[in-house]
Amino acid sequence: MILQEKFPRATVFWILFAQCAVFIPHLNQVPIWLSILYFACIGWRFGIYQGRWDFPNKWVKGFLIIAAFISVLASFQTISGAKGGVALLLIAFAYKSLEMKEQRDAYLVVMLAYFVVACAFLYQRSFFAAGYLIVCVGIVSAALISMNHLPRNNFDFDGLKLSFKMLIQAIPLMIFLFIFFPQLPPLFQINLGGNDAKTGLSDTLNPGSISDLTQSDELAFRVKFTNGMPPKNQLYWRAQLFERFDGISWTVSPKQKSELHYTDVFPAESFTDEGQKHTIEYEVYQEASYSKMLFSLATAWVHASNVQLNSDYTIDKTSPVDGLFHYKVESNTALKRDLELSERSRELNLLVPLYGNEKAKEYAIELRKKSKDEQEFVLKVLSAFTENGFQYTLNPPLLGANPVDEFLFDTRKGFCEHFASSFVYLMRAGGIPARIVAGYMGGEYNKQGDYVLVHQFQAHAWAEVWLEGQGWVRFDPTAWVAPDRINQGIEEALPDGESILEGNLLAARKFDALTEIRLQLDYLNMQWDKWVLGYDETLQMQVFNKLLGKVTSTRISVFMLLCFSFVVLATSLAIFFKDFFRVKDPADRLYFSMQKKLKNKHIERQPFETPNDFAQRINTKDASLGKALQSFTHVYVKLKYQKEWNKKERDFLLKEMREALKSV
Amino acid sequence: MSQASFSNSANSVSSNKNTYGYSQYDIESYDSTGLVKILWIIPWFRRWYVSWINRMLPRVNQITLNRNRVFVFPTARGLLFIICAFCVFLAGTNYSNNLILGTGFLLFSLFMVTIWHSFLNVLGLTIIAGGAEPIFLGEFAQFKVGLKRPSDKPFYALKLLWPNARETLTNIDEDQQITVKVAIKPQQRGYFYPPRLTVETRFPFGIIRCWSHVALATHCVVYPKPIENTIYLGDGHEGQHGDEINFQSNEEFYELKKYREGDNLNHVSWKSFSKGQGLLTKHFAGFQDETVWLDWDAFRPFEHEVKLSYMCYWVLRFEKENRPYGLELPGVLLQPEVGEMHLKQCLHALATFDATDFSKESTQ
Repeated sequence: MILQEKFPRATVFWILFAQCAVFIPHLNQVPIWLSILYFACIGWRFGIYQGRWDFPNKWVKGFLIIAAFISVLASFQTISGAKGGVALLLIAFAYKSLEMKEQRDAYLVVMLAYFVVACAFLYQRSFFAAGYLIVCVGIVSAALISMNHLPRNNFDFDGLKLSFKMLIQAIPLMIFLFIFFPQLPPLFQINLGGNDAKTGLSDTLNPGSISDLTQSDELAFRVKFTNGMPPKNQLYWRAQLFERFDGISWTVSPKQKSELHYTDVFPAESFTDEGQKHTIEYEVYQEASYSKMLFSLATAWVHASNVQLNSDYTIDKTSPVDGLFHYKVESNTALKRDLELSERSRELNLLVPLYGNEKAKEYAIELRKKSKDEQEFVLKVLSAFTENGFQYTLNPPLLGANPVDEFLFDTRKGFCEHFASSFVYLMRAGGIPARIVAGYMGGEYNKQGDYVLVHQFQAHAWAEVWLEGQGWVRFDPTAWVAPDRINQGIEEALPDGESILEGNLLAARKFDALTEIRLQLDYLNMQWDKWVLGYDETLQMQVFNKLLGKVTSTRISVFMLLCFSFVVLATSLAIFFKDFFRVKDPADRLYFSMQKKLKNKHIERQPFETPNDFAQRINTKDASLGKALQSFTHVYVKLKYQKEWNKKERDFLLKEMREALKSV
Repeated sequence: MSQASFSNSANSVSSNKNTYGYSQYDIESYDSTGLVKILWIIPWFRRWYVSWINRMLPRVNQITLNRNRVFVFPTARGLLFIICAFCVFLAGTNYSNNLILGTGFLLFSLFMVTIWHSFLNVLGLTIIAGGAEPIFLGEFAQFKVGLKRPSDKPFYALKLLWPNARETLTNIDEDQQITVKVAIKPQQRGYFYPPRLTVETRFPFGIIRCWSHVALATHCVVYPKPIENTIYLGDGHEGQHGDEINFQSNEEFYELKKYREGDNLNHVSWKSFSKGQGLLTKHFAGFQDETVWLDWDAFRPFEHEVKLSYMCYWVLRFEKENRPYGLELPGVLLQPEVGEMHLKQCLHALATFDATDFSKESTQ
């Protein structure tokens, strides 16, 4: 009766405990009202559990359901998206436990709990989150066990122990399935949506838009160089170009698919010994950014169907990067890009607003007149940055309607976007096509894994200038003002009293002592990202190839059959030979060890002698040994033959036997 | 009905070994699982199944559930669990999220591990048949069933259940062997041979059911259901009385006799006992004269089963009132007496009386 309709009291406790545990990964993903509602429901259910409150009546339930729907709609604008769906799932989970009376309800709540655990992985993908959520599965299973257990008066942890034991037994099979179960393509595409809040580069560049990123130490991507890492000050990771300027902010121009071929990027001379020096091969492991842009060194080529090369030599994914994305890039650093500039491109990159920033415009025109060629003009502008006391700072003064003028002639304090923006403006005003490139600069080298980490705070903006006979050439005005930014890193380049991650007091990066540990952990995470999060069809094929030599359907089926028969054989052997391989009864085992002990003293029990007879015989020969043996035998016989002892009594007698054995 | 089909099946499967002299239990009346129920309409399947299960699980005093004797199948909840795992798997595929995919695989693996744990929760269990006290028809017979585990591994939440009866739940976690009582309500008076006992467990997750249908060599006696009635039959001198007879008025202390086993303890003379005269029983004069005969023929107008129920009522009543009574059934004659032994003899005679031979007679 009890098992079918009601559930033991302990079940409520375990379910409430599991509910608290599984909610934690969702905590920073859901609106605050949902967290309050969720924990209020748990609190209410706990009140019912203690007998202080009553179950909600149908009016309260109806009100709660309608209120929840309206709130979800108000918060997410939709209930069909992933975020809205998860919010509804969490609410349903909390409500169902609130009205949980019968075992059926409790079972449903447990199933929902498994779903909630799975949904947490939409947001949490780290190694530690996975570990935590597996523990959550254990707690949820403990609730399931408590439901099917006989009600006990005393609360105990047997169920929890059993559920973790089962979890550990289940994990090998899970790993096997994970590795060998075919990776299927999505059945119907669902867009996660609603994740635009992720930090990263944006589509417009204002003064301040990059310095904001220095507050985040989130990982942007990792890079593993396959044929040697170029010097750190050459690591300019291009992501997007800003070509349109309205006097204050820069915007991205629409990207066009490139018409280039592989041989254009890697012409015949790049395969000579000299050319090889400029070829860099690397693999990028990019974190979810929910935008399409990918990162590469100039000039990049990618072989992948879901990656597109743009005419401005940046690369894009065909769909937003909503999970870990892995791509291989080849770059030719010596390639001269766009030796002939198209008319459209030339026009676009010479454009300055008709009005505003007049002072800078005049300054540029004057300087251009003084220089004999383009090259000299560029150098003159750059040296103007170093000579006129410009300062590299995270907290530049606010600029007004003519930001370039104000920056160049008044404030002279700025971050990379100020330098890049005013530099490109001066170039254009001087009649040279120029544009801003945004991306990341530099990287942190991880010795253990031999790869480079690029974080959000390494975001950077620099310029590209088109010169006759050279194509697009990279110039970084920041490097002229603060060479440390390029050669060492942003922390070293900043003036005293300023630092990145100011709002992030507890960031591990702030403690130098932890650097080693942080990099070690990142290496672990890198492996996790590569082998678990990034495990896909290609990697699966690699594993198969390694295991089977060649992937054919016969080989796969033979392999599967072998695995299966191995498991079956192992279990059957374990069952059939269990009795042969060990003496089950611990009392017998102790008796055998006693016999072994006496055998060393050349005393042996005859096959016909009962334990008592044997002890008697020894007693007549050697009184002291005989006495010890007799007391040992006494306990043994008592334990084996007197009656059916319960576990507690048996344990006690075994202990007594062990003690008696010592004196034998 | 079950009694009838019981004897029918005894003929149909009489070729089977019949070690204990019991007729084989009729398989038709126990709760078989879904698939067996569906296939039951096929005659050859029925024949094969009956002979197979009787070979696998014969009617014995004591049986150990080995691998061949345990059935394993997911429950409806298990199906839901698998569907849940599959949904998680689908979500993982759709979002190309390997961790969600992994959760789906983990749930599936837990399911597989549960099969093993459930199976080990009955494997090796020894079930020992125990008896049950005689009961009156309409009451629950409480059969004792011994459960013994093979090792120290505890067995949890075992469910014992006769078909259409109350279940008994137990753990075996302290003693090696325990005894539980399992109730069933017989439908017919006489010797009651219980049907197959279902021993099952759904521990630990409730998603896998492991069970066996064991046939235990045990029985109990079912007395007819006593039905209150106004027919009083004397020894021939008194004839039929009215509604109620007050025997108390006839009580008159007559003599003290030496205590015999079976004497009503209410009539023991505790005063003489305290004086050290030994156990003496008070005998009452009225009872000596008022010896009653319960005679089969006197209940003529009624059906046989009703006759037996009426007689049963009077047997109990006379015993309670300590009035010697004799019982006369076709082929059975029990001399007037009073006491527990006599009561049991009478009730047993009523319970086991085979009325089928007299059915023609009553219709004439």
